[in-house]
Amino acid sequence: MSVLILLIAFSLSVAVAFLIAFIISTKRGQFDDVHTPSMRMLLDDEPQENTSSNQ
Amino acid sequence: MTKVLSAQLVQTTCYHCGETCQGPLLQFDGKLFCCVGCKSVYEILQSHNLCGYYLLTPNPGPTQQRTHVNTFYDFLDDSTVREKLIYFKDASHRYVKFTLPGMHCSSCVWLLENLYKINEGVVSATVNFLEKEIKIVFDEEEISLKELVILLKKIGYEPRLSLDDLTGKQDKKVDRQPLYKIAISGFCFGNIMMLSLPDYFAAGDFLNDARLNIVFNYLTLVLALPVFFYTAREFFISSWQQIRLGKLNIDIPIASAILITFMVSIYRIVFLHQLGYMDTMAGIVFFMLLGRFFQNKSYHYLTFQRGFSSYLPIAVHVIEEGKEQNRPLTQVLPGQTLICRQQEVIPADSILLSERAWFDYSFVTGESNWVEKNQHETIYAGAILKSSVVNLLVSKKPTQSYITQLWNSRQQAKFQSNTLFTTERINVWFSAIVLLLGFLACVYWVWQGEMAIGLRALVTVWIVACPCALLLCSTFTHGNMLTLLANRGIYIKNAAVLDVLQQVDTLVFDKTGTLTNTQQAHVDFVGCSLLEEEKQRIYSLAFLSIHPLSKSIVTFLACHTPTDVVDFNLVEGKGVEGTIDGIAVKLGSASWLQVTAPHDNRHTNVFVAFDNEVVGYFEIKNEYRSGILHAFSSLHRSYGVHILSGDNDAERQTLQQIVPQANQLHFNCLPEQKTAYVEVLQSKGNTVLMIGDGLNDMNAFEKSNVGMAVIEDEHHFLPASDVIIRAERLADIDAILRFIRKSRFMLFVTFGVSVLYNLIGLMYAMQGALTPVVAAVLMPLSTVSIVGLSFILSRYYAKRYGIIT
Repeated sequence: MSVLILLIAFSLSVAVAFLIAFIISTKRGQFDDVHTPSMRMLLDDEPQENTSSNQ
Repeated sequence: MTKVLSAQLVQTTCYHCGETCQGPLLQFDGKLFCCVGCKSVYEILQSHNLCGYYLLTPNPGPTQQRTHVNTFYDFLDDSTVREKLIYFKDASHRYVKFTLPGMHCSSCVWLLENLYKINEGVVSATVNFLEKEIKIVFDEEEISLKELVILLKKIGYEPRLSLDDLTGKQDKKVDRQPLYKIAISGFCFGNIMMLSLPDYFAAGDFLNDARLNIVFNYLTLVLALPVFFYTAREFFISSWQQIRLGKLNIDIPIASAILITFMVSIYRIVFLHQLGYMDTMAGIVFFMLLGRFFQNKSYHYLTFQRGFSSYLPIAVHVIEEGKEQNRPLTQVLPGQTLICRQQEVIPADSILLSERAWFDYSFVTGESNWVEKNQHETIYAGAILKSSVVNLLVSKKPTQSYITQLWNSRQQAKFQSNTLFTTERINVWFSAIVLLLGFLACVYWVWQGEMAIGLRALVTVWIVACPCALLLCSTFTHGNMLTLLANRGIYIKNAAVLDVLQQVDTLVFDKTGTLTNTQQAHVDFVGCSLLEEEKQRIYSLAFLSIHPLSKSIVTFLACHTPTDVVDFNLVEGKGVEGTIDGIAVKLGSASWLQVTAPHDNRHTNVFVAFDNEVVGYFEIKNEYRSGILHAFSSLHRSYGVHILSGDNDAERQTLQQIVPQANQLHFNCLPEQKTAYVEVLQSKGNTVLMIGDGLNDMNAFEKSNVGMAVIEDEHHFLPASDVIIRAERLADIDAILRFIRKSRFMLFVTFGVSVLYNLIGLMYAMQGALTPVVAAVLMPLSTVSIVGLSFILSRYYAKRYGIIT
């Protein structure tokens, strides 16, 4: 059963890596604005007449 | 010809901003525009191939009709000002942030982020839509800061520069601590739970290996450390502060629950070599932080305590060495001479040097009539100049002016003095009872000689009945409500305000700016079409009168500078007359001009005569916000409604229809009288909600139980208040208050459910029949169901009252 210790250590280190990644990305401001990127991704470089929303 | 065209095209809308085109027709490139401003924005965009702007959203532009004030930006060349605004620079680039109140749709985002196509000096531009903020990286050799601001203004997005930007007092740093704390406690909670799994299912027997058991136990301890020492800190700090003040607050039961589970767990791990309850501890912290995050989700872009300085201009014209210079307001000193132009805000208390001038004090005093001041009279900061250019001698520094001091003297302590609200009080009682029950059960079992069962009962009672679920009831229900309301344009400062709002039984409305729209009195001209020079004559005559009707006509005609009037004569109660360009112009009532008034007599009419020949009349309606008068009929049923007006009683007739009780309708109210009125109501035991818009209502806001400020747009200057409501939502006030009143019912339902959980759990726990692990599983289960329940309930009622559709 002592293999469990190895597995736990491994899984914990993976989880810690993700936690650190999250903290770093937060620190860099990636979660400061979660709204504008969702608008930006729908914008073309050059909007076309036929693709515009006609509601 | 122009007459025919404008008659045909009354209903056409501006290609740029979508407003109805009125007055002279502007056409360019086959498109119609409402004003020169909109047209010139289009010209710029077209010349840079940026017309995609108009394809994303129809008529996306902010209207340029109301940008009359010519802002001057020379002060941006001043190096100290530049230093303040540029927040970062490297060898070649400068980084600057602006707030652009005009930003409102995806077209705006697209255009602003394509700014580099208009000017090569712009390296990149990034928009934060919710905060209406743009971050621009630019090359100062290609484009100066001043040119950049002018560029933004030219394309219709004038940056809002306030004095705070210059004094560097702004605290724009985003606080990301809550996110870190949630992430860390969530991480620890999850992993501790995983390590506790064997124990959940087989009560520790699953792992026969004692060594492995110990490793698991200590791992949970290690993982619990950051939760206890870092993420849970705020609970300990706040409860310690309260204890020292001899008060009870909501954090005390949480902190004690955390502390007790942590201590008991350490004891079990270290001395008994058994698994502790670290999962419970981390769970409490994680869910509480999550709930708080919800509840405290702040509206960064809104400030409930906006400083007076954001109302003052950022720069002024100063006369130095006989020349007119542009200076940031921070550098203005007493003894300097200022030049102020029409529509500008007086930045500091000063003495009028010019002969006489008209000022609009409406924001400061609530009076919508202009005030005339003569030479050597003191002008207080905050007044808006209505006549043409004047010279002023500054008598006090802007930071020391009367109004700024008035502003600074208020510290909102209203909600701090009353920390225990009904729901929280129940929580505190509940936790006190639970603590007691745990002790009693323990004492009973120990007295029976069952030491082990006693300890188990103590721990499980505390865990099962952990006040956590109860606390979450209010945290999540209030959090949900605040979010739902904010989506509808009603911003409530915090959950404590919600509690007070439920008890409100009296509504006090300010009239000017709250019920009515000060920006636009509705004016129509009935009669033959007026030529430009005729308009100019009427404008010049009306300009000299301070009668509110003349004022409305002045705003309606919107000419630029008045021409000279000879033989000006004011006939009290009848009208005004004067001679302009040799033509005798009369403005006044029907009887005075000897014509018959139109049969439909609901509106005020002002007749116009040139050389004694009547050419038509202006029809002036006091523009009430749409739906607002209708809203009153339902408000009467549940609330006492009072209207206080800083104006004279010209509107008494209309207002009497909505507030029939004469003693609840008051005119000519000074700010102090409004405050006193609120106090009188409160002394009668009423809970007062004051609804107003201007600085003149600020003291009344302060005195009332809840102060609600009405705004036209989020970046408008407003006095400190507890609730901010968008003007177009004011008509829904009844439904909003009903929804808020339902929050108590929602709390009772969620409360009831969690009490039920607790009672069942407690029954078993006190008998010592519950293992701590089962208790620890029950706890998060009840939490999740409470959170879900409060979410469903609040959405259901929001839908019922039309808060969401």
